[in-house]
Amino acid sequence: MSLERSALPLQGMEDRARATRDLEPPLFASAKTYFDAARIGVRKAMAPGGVIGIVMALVLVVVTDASLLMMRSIQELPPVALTFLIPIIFAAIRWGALSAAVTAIGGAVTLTSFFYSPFYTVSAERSRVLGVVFFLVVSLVSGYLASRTRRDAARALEREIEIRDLYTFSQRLSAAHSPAAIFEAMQQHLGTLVGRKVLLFDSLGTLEAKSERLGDVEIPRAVSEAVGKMQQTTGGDRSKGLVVNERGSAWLVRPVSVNAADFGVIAVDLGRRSESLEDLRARVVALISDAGLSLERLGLARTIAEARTRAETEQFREALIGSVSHELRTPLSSILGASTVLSLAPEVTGNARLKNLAALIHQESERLNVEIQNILDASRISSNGLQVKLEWAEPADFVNAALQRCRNRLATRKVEVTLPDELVLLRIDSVLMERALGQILDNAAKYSPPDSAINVRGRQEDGQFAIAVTDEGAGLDPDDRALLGQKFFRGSRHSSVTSGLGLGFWIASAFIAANNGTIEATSEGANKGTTVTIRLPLAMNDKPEGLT
Amino acid sequence: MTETGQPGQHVLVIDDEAQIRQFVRAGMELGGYRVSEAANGADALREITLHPVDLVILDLALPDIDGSELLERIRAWTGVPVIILSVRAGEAEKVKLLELGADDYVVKPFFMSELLARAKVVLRRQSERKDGESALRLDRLVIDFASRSVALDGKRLNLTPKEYRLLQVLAQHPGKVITHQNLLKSVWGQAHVNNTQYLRIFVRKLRQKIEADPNRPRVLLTELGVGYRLTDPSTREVARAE
Repeated sequence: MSLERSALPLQGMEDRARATRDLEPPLFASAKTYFDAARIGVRKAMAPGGVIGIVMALVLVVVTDASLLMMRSIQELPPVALTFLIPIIFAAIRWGALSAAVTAIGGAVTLTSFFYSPFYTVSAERSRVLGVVFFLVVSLVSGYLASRTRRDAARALEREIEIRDLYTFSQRLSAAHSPAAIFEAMQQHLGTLVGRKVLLFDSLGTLEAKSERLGDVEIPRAVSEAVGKMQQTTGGDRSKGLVVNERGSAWLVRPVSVNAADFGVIAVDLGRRSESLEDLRARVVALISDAGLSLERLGLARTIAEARTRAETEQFREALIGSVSHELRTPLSSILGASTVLSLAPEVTGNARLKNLAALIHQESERLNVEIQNILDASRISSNGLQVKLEWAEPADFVNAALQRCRNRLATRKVEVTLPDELVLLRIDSVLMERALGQILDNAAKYSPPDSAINVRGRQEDGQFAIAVTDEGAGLDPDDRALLGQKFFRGSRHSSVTSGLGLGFWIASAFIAANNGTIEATSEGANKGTTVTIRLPLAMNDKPEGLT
Repeated sequence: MTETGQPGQHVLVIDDEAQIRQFVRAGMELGGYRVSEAANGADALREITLHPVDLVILDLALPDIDGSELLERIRAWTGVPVIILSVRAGEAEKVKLLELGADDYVVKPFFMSELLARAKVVLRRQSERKDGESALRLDRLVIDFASRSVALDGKRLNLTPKEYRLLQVLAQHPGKVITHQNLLKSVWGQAHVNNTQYLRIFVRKLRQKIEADPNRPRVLLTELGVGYRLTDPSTREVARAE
């Protein structure tokens, strides 16, 4: 089984974006990828404890203080502690609990300094301290609550994205009609999931890379060792996969399919070790086994389908040949036989009209028999079922046999046969040659006037034995000859379309080719007769030893 | 029973198909033969053992026994002439049947006139064998086994020993196809059964001596891929004409 396998390290978002552009229709691909990239970027920056959150918290405190101070210079203000809840909740929702806490503490500090009289002093007055403590408690609780809402919302969004990715992945898997498509889907999805390198190795452990996508990729030594090990192990390790560490990065190495080694081994860079590593590993493994199953299903299904199709075709062919040769020939044997009995009966031979009718049945059933024979021969040729037995033989023998077989159709023609007086021996299958020549004689008779002459001339020339059959019939026009060269030899033309050089000529060509010979048809033009020449090798160096 | 070599002889037609039996019976009866039928091997064997049969026409496809096996069983105890009917018999199969003792074969579909001609030749050969004639006359050709001489139109031909041996083997069963292997074995010996070219060369030489036109033989005929047979062109022409 040969699978197209490419290793595609998905290194960060830019790499992935480039790789995906290569894989998918450009417009859709880039739009989707940049959306994904932006989404992940935002998600990261929004993570609790992000530096942005702390900075923004401080900025918020300064802005709130400044605006409150500005307002106080214009108008005396009531106690302003509650106002600080606005930036705290905002920070909690935007940047999480830490940011909210920073805002709360910053608020409390500035509150005591600027907004509790006496202004711009820090005093330990009991009521003032109590006020600040209350403020802090209220603001921290509300900040925490707000940030939890935010976290839940973020998690819901994340899960939604994940489910959507998985859905897309499974859709691609179920729609994949080739291993290549499954590999592609897997690479893309893994890339989105872990955002890091994914390498695919074939069943021999070699990385089959498409250089323009891969660039210079260095496979960590521990990874290649694990890949080698994975190809030999059986059992639990195969399904769970191995985790190896290399330069602070954890790699998961697992066969694509637990059951079929043919699909190769996949290595995924899971990033730095952290608590979420086990979770990520489980998800990646689940994903790989999904893809592996799809591959197995596809491979298995195809193998089964191919085997079934082959068996059915073979069976059908056998049945067809069997039924043609038996079911058609059996009744035909009775018809032909009975018609020949009729033409022997005194009651019929004494009656010209009945005699003609009996002869008609006789002739037509004979023709039918020839057609059936042609179909059988064509089927044998097409299925390479031709058995050739090359023996030393005299050309005169098969020429006479062919003339004998066609004697009824040639009855009214003036047939002239010229053969060399000396003994000629050819290494041929006489039976096949007789049938080939019979086809040519049959054609000559079919497409020439009943009283015309047919010339059969055999002679040695240029180290070959040539048998030329010349008729005075329909001939070949340039179109015919063009078709003779192109189509006839493929047998796509049928005898009914043009002058009989269809199946018959095709069969003759195949039989002659099986005897290492050639066939050629020439004509002066339409209605100027045709000459068909068969050439068979004389095999000068392989002369049979003479005897006295 | 009428005298041998003449119509009125008893022919057993063994074929599982009623239609074939029907027209073969009609044809043989037209030819003056007495016909009985068997649809399977068991009936055929019973018929042969119970009644004197002069000729067996045997279809290879039988429901209860393979035709060639039936032929072997018949041959085990009787020399009754057997003509085989077969659909699309390959050359190898024909050779095998002849070696098993078949006297001739006719490939289906066939002309009744052909079957009648074969039947006539086979039956005449049978009667001649019984008569133990010491010479064979084939139209213009006379082969005298006693004096080991061959004459064409009364003129004695000068044949080499190998040529005479070849002609003699063929003449022992006039009308019957003798396989290549059989001829090679009889004339050149077991070691040369595959040297078909010897046969071709000597057949050509023989034809040059006994045929009017060696390129259009009428006495020493070729059965492509199987062997050769000697025929009497005068009787054969009668049979072929129709």
